[in-house]
Amino acid sequence: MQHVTENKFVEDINRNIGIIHKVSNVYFTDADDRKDASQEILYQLWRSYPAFKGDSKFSTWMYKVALNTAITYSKKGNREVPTDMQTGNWEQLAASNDQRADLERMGLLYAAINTLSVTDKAITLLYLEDNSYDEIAEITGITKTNVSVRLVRIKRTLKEKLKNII
Amino acid sequence: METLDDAKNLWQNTNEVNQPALNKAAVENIIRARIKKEKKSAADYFWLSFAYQILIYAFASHLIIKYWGDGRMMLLCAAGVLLYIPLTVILMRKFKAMLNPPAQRVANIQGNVKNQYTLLSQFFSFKKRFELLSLPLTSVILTGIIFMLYVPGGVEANLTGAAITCIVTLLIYSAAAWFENKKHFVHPLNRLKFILEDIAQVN
Repeated sequence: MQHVTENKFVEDINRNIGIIHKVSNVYFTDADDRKDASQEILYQLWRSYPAFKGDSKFSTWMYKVALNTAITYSKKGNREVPTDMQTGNWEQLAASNDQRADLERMGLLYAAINTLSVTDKAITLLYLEDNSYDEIAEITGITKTNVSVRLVRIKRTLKEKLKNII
Repeated sequence: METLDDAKNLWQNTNEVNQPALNKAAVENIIRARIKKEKKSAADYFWLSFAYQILIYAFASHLIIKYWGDGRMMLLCAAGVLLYIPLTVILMRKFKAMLNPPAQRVANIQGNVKNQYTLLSQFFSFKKRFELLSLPLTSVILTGIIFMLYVPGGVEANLTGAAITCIVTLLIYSAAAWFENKKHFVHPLNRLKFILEDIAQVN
């Protein structure tokens, strides 16, 4: 537990604590799974922390660890989509309440992201978090051009799913 | 929503995660729990394998002592023990290495999935080779011992029966190994392969 007792680790994590929760929220729909995944991410961050030499932004490193953990930790196949998030329900959800609260709309956004493949989920999350294409490429290992191409496709998919909702 | 930028605005305006900051004690508790969980997972595998080994060694030792002087029986039992000692040691070492890889620089997602795939497939290849050798040998040894102990005339007088027993034993062992491999290796490897294909996909 030597590294954990270092205040620096806790401080660094706390400054970026949102990353852990956002990654868990994007990859896991069940509350227990999310909690478990968040703890696993924290554990993997702790394990990898001594190897972090500061050659990239701390948040970039944290995204790498968190996304790597979420992607390989999930036991489910990434083609698996919960039935209540299938495309068929979107229009009904959109029409149900025009005054939808932002939180509700966020829930729908998460649900729409959940229908994407594991890689597209990562790219979408990183894009929404305002990472540059270079940073997305660095974190995912995909070329910048490919990131750009995939974002176009993701935008088209999400636009279709979220039209008239947000 | 017209564009993903609208979603981005919504995301950044409303997705401020107000999670309470973690204190040192909370972090330590979580990490202790994860270490314990990881160790338990390794220990479960170890003790399960160890209990199986103990059964084999106890059974073989018992027979060696009981039939001391009977060369064939002693040879069969010794072969059983000798077969399992080195293979078990290698298996456990490889399992430990897979479970606790040395700390290294964090790879990007593609690199990490590739590493995981390579590590798991290497272990699986070794396990398959291990099984290719150990399952037939175990079946032969077990059949030999059973026929020497319980069937008058032994294997020589009952070649067909011994062959059938050996094949049935081998089928049971193979089925068990197949189900185990499917759950712990084939499915995870397929999943990792799918992720790799998904990452490599351009359009």
